Amino acid sequence: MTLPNEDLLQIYEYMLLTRAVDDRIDLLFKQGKIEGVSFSSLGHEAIAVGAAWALGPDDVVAPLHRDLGAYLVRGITPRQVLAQFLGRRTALSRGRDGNTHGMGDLNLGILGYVSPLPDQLPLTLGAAMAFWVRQEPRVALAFFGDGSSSEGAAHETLNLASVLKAPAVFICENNQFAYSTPTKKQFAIENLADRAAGYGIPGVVVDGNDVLAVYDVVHKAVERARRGEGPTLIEAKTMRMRGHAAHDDAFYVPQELLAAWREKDPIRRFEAALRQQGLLSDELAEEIASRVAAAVDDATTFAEKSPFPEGREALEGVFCDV
Amino acid sequence: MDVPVETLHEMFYQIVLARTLDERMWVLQRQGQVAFHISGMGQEGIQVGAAFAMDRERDFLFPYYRDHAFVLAWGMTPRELMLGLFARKGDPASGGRQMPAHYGHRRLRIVSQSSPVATQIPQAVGIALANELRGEDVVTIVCFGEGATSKGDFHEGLNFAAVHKAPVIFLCQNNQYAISMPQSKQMAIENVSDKAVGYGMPGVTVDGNDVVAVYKAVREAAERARSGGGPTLVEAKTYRIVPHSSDDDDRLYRSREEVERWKKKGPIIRFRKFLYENNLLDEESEARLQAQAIAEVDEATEFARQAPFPDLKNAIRPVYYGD
Ligand SMILES: Cc1ncc(C[n+]2csc(CCOP(=O)(O)OP(=O)(O)O)c2C)c(N)n1
Ligand SMILES: Cc1ncc(C[n+]2csc(CCOP(=O)(O)OP(=O)(O)O)c2C)c(N)n1
Ligand SMILES: [Mg+2]
Ligand SMILES: [Mg+2]
Repeated sequence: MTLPNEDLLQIYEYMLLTRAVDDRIDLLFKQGKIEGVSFSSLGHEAIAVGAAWALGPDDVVAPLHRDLGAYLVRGITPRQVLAQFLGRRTALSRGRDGNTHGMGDLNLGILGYVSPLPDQLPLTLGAAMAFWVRQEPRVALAFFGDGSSSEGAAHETLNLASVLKAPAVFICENNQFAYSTPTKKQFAIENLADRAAGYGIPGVVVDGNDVLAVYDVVHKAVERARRGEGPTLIEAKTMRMRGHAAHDDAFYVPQELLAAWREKDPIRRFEAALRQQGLLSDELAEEIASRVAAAVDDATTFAEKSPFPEGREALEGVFCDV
Repeated sequence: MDVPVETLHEMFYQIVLARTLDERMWVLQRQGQVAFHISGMGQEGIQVGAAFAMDRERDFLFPYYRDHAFVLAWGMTPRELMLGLFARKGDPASGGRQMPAHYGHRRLRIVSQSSPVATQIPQAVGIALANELRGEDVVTIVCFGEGATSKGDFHEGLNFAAVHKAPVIFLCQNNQYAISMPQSKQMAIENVSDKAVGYGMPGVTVDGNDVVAVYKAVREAAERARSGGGPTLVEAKTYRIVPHSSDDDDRLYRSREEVERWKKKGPIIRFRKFLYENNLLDEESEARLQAQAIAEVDEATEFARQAPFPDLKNAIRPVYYGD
């Protein structure tokens, strides 16, 4: 599957933007400006951007807490993201929820994040079946983590989706840890994708640090789902490059492991490939980098200048009739 | 692995006894003497084969509601089962306060069943690990239907057991229906045992109407568990030749021909043929066994019918241990 050069450069820019926004979030957290938990998507840029790129405009996605890239590709702006993390009224949740909790936007085909993991899976299956009932050629895609895979909801969703041949795609982001639990304490198998055989659906393992490989397998799965041939389970292998959230120093993660994965950094890899193909010159790289930096600075200023919500707003707009 | 002749004889009697008891329970329900019956007919081969493959002096059993033959072979008596059916005070599971077929027997290490399908699976894993932590040489076996495999509890239980190498056997009695839901609407695969690879444990499928095949498969799984090899998923394929329960009319969702076809492949017909062919059974001894089973069931029925009901004041106590 070859994408037009223009797409490749846009994908690159979205990956850079994801990382720059993520770095800024980390900085703001360390400055004490972010309340509560702050999840990082460092290392997950290829999965989130590559997968979101494979969706059509009418498809829907349920991103996980490390899928900032998917939010951005679908059209959430850096301003909205930082306002959200800083708890401002200008954010999608109007400052009443933090981090990726509350960044859903149905107009952009983004299902809101559900905190108990992985309840986004049955939710996504419901969306997929709604498309099926209405005979709309749309696909629903959900992300879940290696830790989330142990929950009953993951199994119930994969089973029902395969029986119903739902137009859905399920991507497990295996980043080696669920909080402090390593995958060897999470499951007794090598590849989570091997579970697909137990559901009678295709299971694919993909290098989650190779954005084009991710795009490729997700694209195939999305088109398969659109043709009515049912769901696919994709396991994208990567590494969580920061702690579970900004408060966690991840002392339990061996430094050598992080070092090894740093060598496989998805952005550096993609950048090298683009340069090798002659698609990215120094000037172009410079131009993209400064555009990204400007967007993040602008978003920071916007968010910091935005007002906090008033206390009385806490209950407004929670239910549809309020 | 050769099965001793004595064991074959014992197994045959247990199957005949379970079938005789089950038939009587249907009659009692249809006569209005008891409220409800959920039958295990057609699954006796699986249950008796599996029970004999375990160490019934030490191991733990988490049965499900169709396991009449299993709990009988494990040591419960026809009287005890009838007490449960008639909801009498002497019912060892609940003192006559639970629905029938929710087995529990403290002395026999049969752990009380919860009604929601599949909840016994994680419970069994917990008991298996507890026994392991205490250094007990004990294996736990847990039974459920193929419908139960769609529940999250199945997934969480099997995954946890595999990670911790729990000494437990998951015995799926695949009777092709979950009430009216055929297997094809329950899962998109042929064999439940194919789910085992996704957890990193061995999975086997056996013909559930072949009692000796089940015995061997469960025996192997028990030996694996006992020697530290962790859990096994055993799928025993059969067919539910009766309606789901006494409240169900299965004519609404499946043809009589299908049911009749499967009845001919039933475990009793099959086992009987095997015993006759190997000169292990003759008409005279079979008639004697049948008469013995009928006498036991008659006696148990009368015993339970005349047994006292629980006291009203005990309706909600004891519920918890130590109550
Ligand atoms: C049902 C449930 N249990 C616990 C949590 C708390 N929790 C939030 S994220 C997380 C780790 C999830 O790990 P994984 O699915 O591997 O995703 P990752 O954070 O590694 O991307 C936990 C335990 C939760 N949100 N939901
Ligand atoms: C969680 C839950 N849902 C539904 C029921 C109702 N119910 C009782 S038995 C049964 C069918 C289970 O089918 P299967 O696991 O195949 O066992 P079988 O009855 O066929 O032996 C159902 C749906 C229940 N007890 N618990
Ligand atoms: Mg993880
Ligand atoms: Mg069944």
